[in-house]
Amino acid sequence: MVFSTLSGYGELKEPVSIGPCRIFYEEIDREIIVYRRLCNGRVEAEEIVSKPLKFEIIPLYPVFTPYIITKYVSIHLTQPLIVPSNSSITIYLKLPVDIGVYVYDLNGRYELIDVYPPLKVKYGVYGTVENGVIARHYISPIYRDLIKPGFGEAVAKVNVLNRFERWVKVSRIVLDSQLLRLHYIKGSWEAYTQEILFEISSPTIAYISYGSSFIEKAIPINDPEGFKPPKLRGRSEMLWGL
Amino acid sequence: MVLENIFFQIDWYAVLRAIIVLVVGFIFSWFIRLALYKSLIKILPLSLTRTISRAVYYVLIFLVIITVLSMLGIDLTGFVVAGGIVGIILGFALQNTIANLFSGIFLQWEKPFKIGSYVRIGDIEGFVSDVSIMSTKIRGLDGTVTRIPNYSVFQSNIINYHALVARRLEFIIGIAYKEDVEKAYEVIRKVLESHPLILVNPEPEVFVRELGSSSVDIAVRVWVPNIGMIPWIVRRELLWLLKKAITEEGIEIPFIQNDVWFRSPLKIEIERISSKQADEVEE
Repeated sequence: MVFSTLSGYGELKEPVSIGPCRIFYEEIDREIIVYRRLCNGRVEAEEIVSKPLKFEIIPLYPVFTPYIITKYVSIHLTQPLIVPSNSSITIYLKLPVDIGVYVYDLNGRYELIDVYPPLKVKYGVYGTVENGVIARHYISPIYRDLIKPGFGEAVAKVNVLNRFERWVKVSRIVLDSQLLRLHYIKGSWEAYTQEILFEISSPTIAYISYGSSFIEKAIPINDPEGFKPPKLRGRSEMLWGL
Repeated sequence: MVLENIFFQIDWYAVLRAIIVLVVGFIFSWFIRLALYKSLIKILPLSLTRTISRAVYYVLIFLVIITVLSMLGIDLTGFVVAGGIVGIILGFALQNTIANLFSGIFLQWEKPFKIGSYVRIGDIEGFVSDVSIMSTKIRGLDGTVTRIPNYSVFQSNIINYHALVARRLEFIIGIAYKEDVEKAYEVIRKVLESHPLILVNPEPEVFVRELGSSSVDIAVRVWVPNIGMIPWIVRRELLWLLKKAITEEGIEIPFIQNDVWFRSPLKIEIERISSKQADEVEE
């Protein structure tokens, strides 16, 4: 079997290599197809699919592997950002994304059949072990200009607004992946979040609002079924330190 | 004629008042039941809320009926005395049941665990599968279900393994005295770094805990997400991964060696055998 290197998100038409993994599907007969993902020579995912229309590779929220244990993503800044009182600044941050594989039927209904984390997966507690939450841990530098995300990454545009009357040091931003919406550009590894408003109300408390996409060409991903509850409010809180 | 007499003997004003009290009492009891249900449902589980609101409703209905009967001039003294005696008898008979009931209410109030929590209550360990007004059911890892009366639960020491968001695991790894401890630290840290479920915060700790009789004992303390069976899965995986990594790096994990000293010299009997016998033994 010949494997070409996949150059971006989109339909899976031929066997492809993604990092150390190989993704392909085999037709058993006219109605049955076997999807497989091999990593380092080992079958890590295998699904028997009946009558699929197509397979698609998309970016996914980085909370699916190895199990769904949280909905939070904690982005730690390589160096803290000290924000003056009553001022705002726009920064760009990177966050990890998982690679998801959807299978579509003739009616356009889709099902998530595989998730693969291209970057190292680590989790941590945000807050205390008594009251905090588990969050996917990621370290990102601060970018002043829009950058192109690499394979397994997404870029978030964050407007930091300090409403507090003193300087505040920000060393992390905790995002709620149920309020996030990933967008991507087909044929590339570019993934983006919405524009995010990070409103600081005290040295330890901030509110995060999730706006709309800031990249024109990017299209929103189809969210995995059942992953997001009905949207009640579009903001999350950071209550245990910034 | 007789009917007419009875009709005029009845105090219709009192009857009307009794009917009004009865209707208002029923409506009032129904509202109290509804209000109680709505306020308790926020803090108590559905089954308990339903039981309490229903019990209060029936007590109120009973009081309304008693009031109405006394308004109609029916003597209730005997009834009250009989009720009191029955109450005392029931109180003694249902002592344990009532103790379980109130313990159940207190447990619902205090919430020392939730359904799905992994707990140890006294000697019984497992997942909480049901908490009812009278008892708590524990599903053991071996597939058994134990029903514990709430009174016993309330009186016991309860360890809730799922109370916090993360749980600490500890491993002791003994390496030979001749080995480089710093190298062992490096190997262990590499394994911890590569495991997705070892939390970065709180940070893992790796340190020499004891200079043992035959090994340098290194303690490895890690925090893992305290969800479902994750602590158990990580414990099972990590111990093997650490052993494998340490062995692959050529670091010796010693086994306990004992020198046995005999107070009196041992006599060893040597039996000489022929070369033919030796061949047979070899075969």
